[in-house]
Amino acid sequence: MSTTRKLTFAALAVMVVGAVLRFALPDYFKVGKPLVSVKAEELFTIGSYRFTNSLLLTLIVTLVLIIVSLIATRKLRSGDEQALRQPRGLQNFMEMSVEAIYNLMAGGSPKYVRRFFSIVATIFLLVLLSNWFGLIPGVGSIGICYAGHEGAEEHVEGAASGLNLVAANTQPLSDAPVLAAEEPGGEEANATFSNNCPAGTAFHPFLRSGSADLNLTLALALISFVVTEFWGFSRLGFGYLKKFFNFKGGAIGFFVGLIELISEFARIISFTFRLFGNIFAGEVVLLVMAFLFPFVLSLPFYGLEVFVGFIQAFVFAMLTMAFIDLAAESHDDHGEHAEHAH
Amino acid sequence: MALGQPSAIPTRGIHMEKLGIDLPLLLSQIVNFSLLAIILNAVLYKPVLNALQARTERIRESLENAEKVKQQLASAQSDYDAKMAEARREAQNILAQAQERARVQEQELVVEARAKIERLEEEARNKVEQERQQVLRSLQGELANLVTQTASSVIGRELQGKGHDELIKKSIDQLGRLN
Repeated sequence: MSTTRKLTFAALAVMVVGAVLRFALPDYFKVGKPLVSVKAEELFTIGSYRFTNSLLLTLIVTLVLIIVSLIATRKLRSGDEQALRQPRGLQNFMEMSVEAIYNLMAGGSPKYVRRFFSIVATIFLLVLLSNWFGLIPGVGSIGICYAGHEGAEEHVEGAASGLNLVAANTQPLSDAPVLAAEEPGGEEANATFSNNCPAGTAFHPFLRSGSADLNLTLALALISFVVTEFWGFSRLGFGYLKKFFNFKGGAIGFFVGLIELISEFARIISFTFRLFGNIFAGEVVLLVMAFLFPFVLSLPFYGLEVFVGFIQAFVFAMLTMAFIDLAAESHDDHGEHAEHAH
Repeated sequence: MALGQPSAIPTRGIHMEKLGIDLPLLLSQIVNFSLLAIILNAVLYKPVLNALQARTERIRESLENAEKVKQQLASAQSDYDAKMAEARREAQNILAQAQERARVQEQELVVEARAKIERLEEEARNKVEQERQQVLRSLQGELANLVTQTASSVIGRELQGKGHDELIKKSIDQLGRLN
């Protein structure tokens, strides 16, 4: 029996046992009304610092990346001639991955690949693993009933959680899922929390994909933005600003410059919300599909989300590389090149 | 959506809060990313990219070496061929010269031998002739004596005078012709 087949059987066995337990012991294996929150849920607080589940998963991803890298390149770093000559196992896999990322980047902008490889490749790996770790069963569905600090009640009362999706299998299917937008201070807010948790507490999953939290996506967007602008300035000096404040090209040139300036900053927002929106929406889709069709039919969506997770990581990294490339291009150079061409 | 309602956005701060954006968390993520980038650069990107570069370099060198060896081999082969051809030509020359020399020598030898034979023949002939002459001469002498004695004894008297000598000579001449 092949390993793949064994794993498939194990997964099926877990599913069957879970389903049996769910119906045999309904009191202990309750399925609560899931709550979808735009915000990452906190697990504990240190002073005013809210340690969230998405930060926990991001840290796990970080550790996994570091440990895997350490193991994979152990022989390479110790200068093992055999490992250099004949890569195998994990080392081979990581070499393949790094080389693939490198070649993809080099395909777009061969000049600055090595200089920015560390940043762009880390963006790719961190985003990719964050996206994929978010798809592991249990992430987002296993958690605690969080009594919270002073803020918890306020969140409920103030409906600060904003957009809530309530899906309950105890309700008739036609009623679930319900997309509920609460009024501030609305009484419904209480009802949106999992019915498994006692009143006054909220269900907080242990883990949440980092990409489904705006803090990670905004952080990466800011890093991408800062690196791009820094590179533009270091290559072109203050000439870089000519792109945005163009006084030579007349009124049209000036307005084009302004539009460039706005779009430069709009990139932060588009970076942030593209990744967040895709991954967060993917999780919602999976949740909804799981509640509508508990078995089998949600699997294609799983495959879709794996694909989306890869594509979003790829897009984030490649756009960063492309913008870095664009920033180093002088507008004057363009004119000269064009003239030479004529 | 709740976010779109004016009453839900009293201030900018609360707006960000609703999206879950939190400055300490944002800073944590930035720090986390920066550390990850630095660590991965040290333990993953640098070793792997260096290894890839070393491998590419090695392959390039190997190919170059192979090309060099191939060229060397080709030049050695052509060198060998040229030397072989030269040696063959030389051998041919030597052989031809030897044959020529042998032919010349042979001819010389033949000529010489022929000359020698002729000389020997000549000599032999001369010798034989001389001997014949000698024998003839001595025979003539003896015959004359013998004829004289025989005739004397037969006739019983001594032949005298001129007429005798002429007779003797005639007899000898006849003998010589008979001989």
